[in-house]
Amino acid sequence: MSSHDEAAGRLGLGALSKRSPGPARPGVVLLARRYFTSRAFGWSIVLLALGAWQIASTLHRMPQLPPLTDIGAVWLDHVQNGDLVAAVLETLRITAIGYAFATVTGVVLGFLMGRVPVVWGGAEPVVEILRQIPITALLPLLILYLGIGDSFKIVIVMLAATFPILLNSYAGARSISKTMAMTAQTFQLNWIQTQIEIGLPAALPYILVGMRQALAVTLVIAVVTGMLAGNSGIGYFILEAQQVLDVKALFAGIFTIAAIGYVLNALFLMVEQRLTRWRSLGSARH
Amino acid sequence: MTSEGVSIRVSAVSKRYRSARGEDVTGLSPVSLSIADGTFVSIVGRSGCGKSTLLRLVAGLEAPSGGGIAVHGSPVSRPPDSVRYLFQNYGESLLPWRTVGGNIQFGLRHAYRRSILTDRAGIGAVIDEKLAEVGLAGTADRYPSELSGGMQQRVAIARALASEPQILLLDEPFSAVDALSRANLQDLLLRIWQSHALTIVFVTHDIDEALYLSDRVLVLQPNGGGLQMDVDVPLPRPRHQIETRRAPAFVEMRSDILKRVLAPN
Repeated sequence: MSSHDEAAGRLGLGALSKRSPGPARPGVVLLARRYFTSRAFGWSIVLLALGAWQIASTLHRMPQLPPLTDIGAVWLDHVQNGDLVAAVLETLRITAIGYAFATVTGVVLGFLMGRVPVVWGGAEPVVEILRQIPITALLPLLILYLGIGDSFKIVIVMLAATFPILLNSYAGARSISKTMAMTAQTFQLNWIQTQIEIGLPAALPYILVGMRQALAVTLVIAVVTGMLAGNSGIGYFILEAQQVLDVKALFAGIFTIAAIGYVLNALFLMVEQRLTRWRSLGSARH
Repeated sequence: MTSEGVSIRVSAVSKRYRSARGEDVTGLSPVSLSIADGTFVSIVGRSGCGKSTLLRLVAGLEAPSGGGIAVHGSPVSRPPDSVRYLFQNYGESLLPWRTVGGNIQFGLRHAYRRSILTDRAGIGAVIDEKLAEVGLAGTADRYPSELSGGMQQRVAIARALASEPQILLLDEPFSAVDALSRANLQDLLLRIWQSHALTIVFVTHDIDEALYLSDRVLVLQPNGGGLQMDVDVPLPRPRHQIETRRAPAFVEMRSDILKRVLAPN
């Protein structure tokens, strides 16, 4: 089964051409290797910077800049005693739930705004006003309404993630050319068929860009809510480390977030490339 | 008025547009004509003469401002199910996220007569058959973006054929492909027209192409002025790219039409 068919399957596009496998589709390992080899130069700079850090902090002991090896040891301690892992899982849980809600809301509303004039007319002012409000401005109000539990964190993450997904889904839904729309008409597709067979696949690359933008935002927001609510997650882990002046644990927390963010983004890029493989075939790979 | 043997009947059809400045513009002055089953008709004329407009009206992709169109006797209010339309910008008409085979399957799924083929092997066989018919055997797993312009238009033709139309409307389908591919595509279209017993309406600005392909050439007046000439083309078939084009009758008809098209009015 080709990556394209998988994509279509997820969109509920029904049976597609599941014929003899064509030219070999890149596997996950190959994709991952390609991902890193194409970024080898950038990664060597990162490693160089880390090496400089390690040397500097070893030669000249500074409490505010501990050697990486010490940070690593502390990181391993916290992984082994389980509190860092628990904090990460908690943050990821909030991220995932908020992100899932945001994806459904953003894709459905954004897509329909792009395809149904009445939905656009009704929702455009509301969306345009709401998205101007910085999410931080809503924090006090939402704490008042929802307290500092799960629902507060999830709502904040969802609000932050919805708009990039919604706006990109809207743009994707608008991206269908007149020729494509007439093609649907001449093949007698009804409204639903047009959306499923043409609207959604055409919008998919845009939707994925929106989802990737939102992913970066959600992680940030999930960390912040943990700090703000001061009760759970990697944000709270970092806050706690700061309060007891444990700089090594602080860095361990920060590096953990950076690594998670990087891996999530990389995974997303690879998924995106597979789902929209048809886009890169005619042009040179970037 | 009987519809026996008539594919398309156009009765005093006109089209007016409102321009961006709010002016009323004539897209097409009233035109009446009927096209017999199984004929190959071309519509030629200068840019802006309304030839593409007329085709979109027949296709049910636009609504006329006056008059009416009937396809096989039924009035057109939406795209008729026995009609398929091929666009000049085929690149925007093929589904780029589907393979060539997937595009043809799209045609099969939205066929005029609901296909009884549901098993995968049957569908695969039909896809291969349609691809072979347009000279693209073995490309089912490629994506449209991997193909040249002429090949993409072949896929569009195969996709239209897969939906088993009775009438094919083509809007300057070969104007964006190179001259050699165009000649091949013309002959391909003639073969398909004959083997599928289609009625074809073909819009082009190329008078040679119109004469080479058609049983009948309609010439439209400039600026949506309506029908100017209705020429029967009694050239023998099968047509031949070199023989037909240098036949005295061909040359004579071409200069007749050209004179009228170029004449200041």
